[in-house]
Amino acid sequence: MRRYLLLSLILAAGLLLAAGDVGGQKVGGKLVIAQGTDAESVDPINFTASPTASIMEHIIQTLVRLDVEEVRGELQTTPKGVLAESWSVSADGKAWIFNLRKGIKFHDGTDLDAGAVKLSLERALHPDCAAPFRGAVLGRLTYSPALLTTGAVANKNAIVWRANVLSGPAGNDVSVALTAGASLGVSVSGSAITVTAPAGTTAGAVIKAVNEHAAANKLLWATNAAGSDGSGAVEAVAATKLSGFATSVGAPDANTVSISLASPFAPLLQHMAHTAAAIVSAKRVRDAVAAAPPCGKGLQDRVDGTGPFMLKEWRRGERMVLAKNPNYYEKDAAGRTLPYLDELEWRVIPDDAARMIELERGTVQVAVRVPPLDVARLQRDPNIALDFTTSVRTIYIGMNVRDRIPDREGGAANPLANRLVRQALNLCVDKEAIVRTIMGGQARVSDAPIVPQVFGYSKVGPYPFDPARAAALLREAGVTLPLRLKFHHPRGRYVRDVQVAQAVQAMLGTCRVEVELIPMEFVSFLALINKAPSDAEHQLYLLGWGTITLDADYGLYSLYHSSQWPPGPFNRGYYKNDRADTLLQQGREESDPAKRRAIYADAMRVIWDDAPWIYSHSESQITGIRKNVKGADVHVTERLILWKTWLD
Amino acid sequence: MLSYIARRLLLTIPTLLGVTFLVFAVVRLQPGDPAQEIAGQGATREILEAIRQELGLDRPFLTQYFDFMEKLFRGDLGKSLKTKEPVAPKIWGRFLHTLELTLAAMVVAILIGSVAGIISAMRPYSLWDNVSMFGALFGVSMPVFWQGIMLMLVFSLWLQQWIGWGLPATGRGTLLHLILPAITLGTSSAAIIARMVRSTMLEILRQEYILTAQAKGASQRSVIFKHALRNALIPVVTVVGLAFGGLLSGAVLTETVFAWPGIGRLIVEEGILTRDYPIVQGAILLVALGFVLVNLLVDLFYAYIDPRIRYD
Repeated sequence: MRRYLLLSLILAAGLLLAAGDVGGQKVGGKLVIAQGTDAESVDPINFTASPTASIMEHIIQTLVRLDVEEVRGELQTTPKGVLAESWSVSADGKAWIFNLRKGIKFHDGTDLDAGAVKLSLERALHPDCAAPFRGAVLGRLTYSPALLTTGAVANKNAIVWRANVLSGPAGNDVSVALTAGASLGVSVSGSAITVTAPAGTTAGAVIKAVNEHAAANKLLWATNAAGSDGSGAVEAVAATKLSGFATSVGAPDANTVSISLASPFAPLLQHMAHTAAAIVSAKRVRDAVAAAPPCGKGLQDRVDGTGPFMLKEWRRGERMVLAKNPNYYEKDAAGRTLPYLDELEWRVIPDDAARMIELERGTVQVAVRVPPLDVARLQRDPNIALDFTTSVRTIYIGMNVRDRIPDREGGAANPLANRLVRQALNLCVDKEAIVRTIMGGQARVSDAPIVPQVFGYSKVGPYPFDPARAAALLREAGVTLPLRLKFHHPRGRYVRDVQVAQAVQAMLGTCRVEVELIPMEFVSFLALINKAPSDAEHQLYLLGWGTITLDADYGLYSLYHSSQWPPGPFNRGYYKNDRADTLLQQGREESDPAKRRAIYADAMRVIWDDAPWIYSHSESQITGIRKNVKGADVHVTERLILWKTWLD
Repeated sequence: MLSYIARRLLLTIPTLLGVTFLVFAVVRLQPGDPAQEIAGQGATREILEAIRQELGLDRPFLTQYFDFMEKLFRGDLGKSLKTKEPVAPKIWGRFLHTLELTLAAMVVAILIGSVAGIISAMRPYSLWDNVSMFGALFGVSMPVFWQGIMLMLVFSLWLQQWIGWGLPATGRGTLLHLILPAITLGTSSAAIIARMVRSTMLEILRQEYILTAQAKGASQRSVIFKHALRNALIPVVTVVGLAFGGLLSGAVLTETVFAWPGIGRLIVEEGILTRDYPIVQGAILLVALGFVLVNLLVDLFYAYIDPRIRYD
């Protein structure tokens, strides 16, 4: 017995030594992080918020990730391979090939292969699974007119589409033939779709019939071919074209993934770096999907990823504990295995003051969202360092630019339809003052619709604070003063949002624009502004947008392109400018980075001059980190990166 | 007695039915679309419609209600709109956490409240009386989030900085974790109980049977605890019962400040803020049931402390 004790002591000592210092970075230990909210889920197809992504990215990984580096004083975003070792894109920009890194294992012991990638991405794309980021991040594979976007005209009576069938009948490259017939009908046989239609049927009617057939039979289609225009029928098709990049995912061999697009989409890599495109073990997903097709059941509580940490314990509303993945493949610069820490514990502490007290006590070592007013006090604490990282989140006051605002009297003229009025409002708001006083200096005045960390940024503003010029513009616009406007804003969603709204109200007041503030709880607020233009009653609305893909397309297309009007998408002021539309479409299809930059610079100048928003500021993330924590990284997309972190 | 209990239990059914209808209607009357919340800002119209259809939110209100009731009678509280998991285990787990906190808070409230009330009643208008009644006023007026943070500051942070040990500030775990939230949650009830004990005791101490007890030479302690306090209990029990029932609904503020994973936070964070109707419905139903049962217990307790009360 004693011998065993001695032996185990020696072993334990050996382990301790092994666990000790390895050249600066110490191995072992547990890091406690406090966030204000709990993770919603660990399933990549079932989350919406950045605090969730911050945790998830330690468990599950994407094909690529976005590294933000400072190169010659300028921040540069570089996609770096994670699960993908390399990638290539065809000359037409529509076929992507990803070569997977070999030898990676999921937490359940199975190997990463192309099949797992295909399954993960297809699950994320499946309309029945209603993944929140599907539309914005992964494309629009829906039973919508987007399915058939282009057609090649064979003759006056036949339009041939080529579609990619993802589920339903097996096979790719399905051709859809429209032939003259007595009545409109759709039939599917093998990989062929046949449409019969009476003479004079419009393309729109055909699309509708095909899509209804697809919906009724749970078929999933995607177009995969460009066609030529040439007849009125096809123009009708083009008119129904939605944005997005219908995608199909293939797995030609175990280590190769192919993604084909309906049209070129330059920022595809950036989108593949989004947490919503993370890859999870196929084994568990297959079991879960077998139990509840097509999306699976119970995956929001447990998934097996390839990340540096594995989910160990999750008590909802309290804490989530992650344990080190002993088989993690990534090494640090000196060739040591990552991660250094044994465990991460994410605690939920909703109250800001309580979170700071726990940080000061040292019971948590990292606390996110430090209130701006606590900054000075915490800076005096010798054990705490504050990290200031800008965020890609832009705060703006959107304006409904429609001619009339519906109300009970059948519609009132909307002064915000006039560009001069919108410019005047921008000139009347003192953004510097908002940043200095309300945000305690922890924000940045917006000088473009997106922030400098985002690819495609160029400085186009800011609108100076110039009440005199604002007054002149209002006179020129010929509106009767005082101008009365409604201003809806959320409460508690963004840093000091109520105070920002109140300040804007006061500033606009000095220009004789009387604003009625209507504070709302966020979900109700979203419902109010997410209406079709004919039902929309909002005029001014405060909102934030985080360009998480770090690419201008994500920060501009969904917010300013005229195809993106609600309900659903985010152009909530119903802005439309043909020049901006053209440029934004070009931007997403152009593959040359230099040309894209130029396109976005043009697009932003057009938009800025139209002033569909009052451009306010972008937020800063203030993170409190105990000084014994080394190597903790705060990403501009509001995520913590902790797999190269150690405790000193 | 048994028939009384049975009758009272039967009477809870219409009460709870009313609650189900009210809750069901109210959560649906607020603006905000659960489908939108589930699908996030980026959802297309098709996605939203698919979700509404899947969740049955596109059906008429009454159809949804009867469907809910039918499931309820089978003991099924439904599935979360967001996670699609049954809500019952989650609600029950959170309810137990709240029950734990509530019981601790009531212990604090009864101890502090009755001691302060008795002291005040024994020496009315003395310094003691003034101090404890001022304390009661203060306790009732203090905002919970402020009091919570102050307690945390003193007993967690400063104590730790002075002597190297402090009470846990947030979270749930050991008995020590209970102390600060229980004090915070119990303070206002303690204050109400103190005032109630004081006024009832003052009245009772003027009664002739107290004079008799004193005249026959009973000790002061015996007069206060045996004769006066027992008779003063009825209104106090009522207050305690009401406070207990009220606290069961989860003190959202206290739970939020102390990061306590209780039912109040569940209702707000995972229910109301995300429009997850089944969570709100189930949790409020459970809380209502708790409230009704506590009231029944209080009524039964009357009979125990006052033998003149009979329910037959």
